[in-house]
Amino acid sequence: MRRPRISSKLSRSVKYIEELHSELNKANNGLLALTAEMEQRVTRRTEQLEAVNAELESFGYSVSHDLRQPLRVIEGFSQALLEECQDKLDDVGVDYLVRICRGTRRMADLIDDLLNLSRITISAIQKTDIDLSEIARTVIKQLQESDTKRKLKVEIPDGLDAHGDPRLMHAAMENLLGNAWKFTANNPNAEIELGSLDKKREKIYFVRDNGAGFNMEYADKLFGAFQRLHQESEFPGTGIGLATVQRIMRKHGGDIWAESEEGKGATFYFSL
Amino acid sequence: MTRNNQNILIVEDSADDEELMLFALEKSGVKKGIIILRDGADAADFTAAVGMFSDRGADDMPQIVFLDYKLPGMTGLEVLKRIRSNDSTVTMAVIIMTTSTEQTIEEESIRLGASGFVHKSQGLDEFVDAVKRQLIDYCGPTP
Repeated sequence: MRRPRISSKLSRSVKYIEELHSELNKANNGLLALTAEMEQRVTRRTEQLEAVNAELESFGYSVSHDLRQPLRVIEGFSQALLEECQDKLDDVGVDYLVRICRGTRRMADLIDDLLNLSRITISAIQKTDIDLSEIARTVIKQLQESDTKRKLKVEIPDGLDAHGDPRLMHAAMENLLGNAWKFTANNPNAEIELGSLDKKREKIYFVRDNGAGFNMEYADKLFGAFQRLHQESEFPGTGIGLATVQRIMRKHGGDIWAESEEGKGATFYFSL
Repeated sequence: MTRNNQNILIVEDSADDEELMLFALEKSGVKKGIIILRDGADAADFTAAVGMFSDRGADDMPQIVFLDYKLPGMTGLEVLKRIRSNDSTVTMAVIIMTTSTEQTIEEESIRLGASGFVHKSQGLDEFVDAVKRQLIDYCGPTP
């Protein structure tokens, strides 16, 4: 007589397990549905974010672009006034007008740099094998042509290869070497060096100078747009250059950082 | 070719930019023979002597056109295309002018057959020099 009891117990257990199993299945399906929904939500949000981001970027671009036109009118006519009507103004009037011209030029430079920055953000990256030495030499040649009086030692090794977007890397080298050029202006024995080192299978490039350098305490401000660590009268600039370079390196999947000692020079390292 | 009987066509919708252009022309020694149009379609008709300009005399044919890139309606590049597709104006000197520093605009203009390019966004002196250079290239030196 024990058999039927065992059997009924067993069948009850089986039924119970089956019920549990079905519950578990239900829960599992619910979870799957939830996961799918979450994934969908994340995709949707990402898409929304990307759209807003793109909109913001193109808005920034249009704003800078459209600001240029009225500024040109102010700049053009202030200069025309200075050229054509200077004799009708006294010294104070001329001084005011010169200040207006200087201010508009500076704003024009700012807008141009901002435009460059947003252009880089918007543009698609096209990587190919590039010769960084060649790019650097072209940039240095342009700098030397812009100021033939400057005497400085430039060290660029041959065949420094990299994998990057030629146009963007040209812009980055323009900024980095342009900075090195600018901040060594007061050093009679100025030196600029481009080089590379291998670190954990990754190639690190660097641009080194023996110029004014900066205080490492403010190093985190170095790459923020509009952030400047030197006085405008000492070293002019818009403070957008290094922000642009950082954006270029990050677009490549790389990064940029710097080391410096005030008065002794700075080294900017970057990876691609 | 001297600058005695030149015709310079300016196609510009902004009155301020027009004034700055006239300033540059004056600085370049140009005093007469300047035609100003504010509309792209008018400029295309004028160069081809069609539509409301069908009675334009051959003497009024522009020697050089300073064409704004950003015009309402028919754009500067569309005008350029029209000029290049007409046998009588296919070799006309057309200079595209823009406030934009976008490299692609210059490339596109040259591809469509622009003779030259002037950036309006530079300083006034540089702008005057750029206009002067185009005049020397296409209309000869100042008399």
